[in-house]
Amino acid sequence: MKVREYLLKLEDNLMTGGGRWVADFTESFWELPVGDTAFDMLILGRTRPRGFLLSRFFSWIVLPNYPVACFAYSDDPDLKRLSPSLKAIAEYRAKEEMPWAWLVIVNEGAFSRRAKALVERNDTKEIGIALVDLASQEITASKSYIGRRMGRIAKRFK
Amino acid sequence: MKTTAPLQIINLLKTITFLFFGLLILWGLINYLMLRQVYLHWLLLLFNLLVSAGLGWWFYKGNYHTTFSYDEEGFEIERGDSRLSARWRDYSWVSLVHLGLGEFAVRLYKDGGDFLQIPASSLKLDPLEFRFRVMEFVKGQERGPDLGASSPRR
Repeated sequence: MKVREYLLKLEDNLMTGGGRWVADFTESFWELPVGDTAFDMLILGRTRPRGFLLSRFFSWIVLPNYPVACFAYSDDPDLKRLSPSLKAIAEYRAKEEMPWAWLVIVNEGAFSRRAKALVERNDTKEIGIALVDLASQEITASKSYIGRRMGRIAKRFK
Repeated sequence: MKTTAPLQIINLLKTITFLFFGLLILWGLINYLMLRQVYLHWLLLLFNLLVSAGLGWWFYKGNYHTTFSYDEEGFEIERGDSRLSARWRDYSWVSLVHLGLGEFAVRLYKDGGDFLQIPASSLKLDPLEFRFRVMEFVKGQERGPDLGASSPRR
């Protein structure tokens, strides 16, 4: 599977598939620079689904309504771009008052051992990171709740 | 210029149905107020259906029917009585928007955050392919400032 094909599946899953259980992802940008970093894909959403009549009313009274995002970039097996990406995401989150975001890093080969250890150790609650190795179908997710959730979503169409 | 203007059957049927029941209720009310009873006959329902279909088509053409033409330079979109033509280079960013129920639109952003929405699914265009094609048209032109400076408003 190629990176573009995987990202299209991830986009479809978040906007019309299982991702809707987490948030209502409605808008997707490709090849988008955020700050000094370029992301292959950025999907924006809100935690409150739109629904219709009764479901809209119940989601309005029960669910919080804050923005969330899923950032994705590719071809960085040693995670050399991780630090500037996290900085750009943090700035974007602050600007949009976004409580949390996902970062998916896709590679057509294996990630370095150091890269996987770095992500596995990461327990930042605000950003969930998932490494997707398309060659071996291996997913490595950060250990925060948001990270583990992304790991499960990314696995659905490996 | 490529042109697409498919019949939006759901919008047409919604309009006709709404008018059919609206006229039926109006007929019942007028009957009741004048005669204290409601007169109904299948010929009357058939007549109502014909009137609703005629009025519905007229309303649909004036409000929902969309014609979209485009080439590498620009596009023209006509919805009902309103018409807009623009060049791709007037826009900086492209996004794909899920409108719900599997309907998608392609959104074109200007630097200031203003956007225009092209209802790709209603126009029977493949939203994913069309989005990438529009990105190429827009990318072929000069890029605007990055999102860090001006993010598209949602």
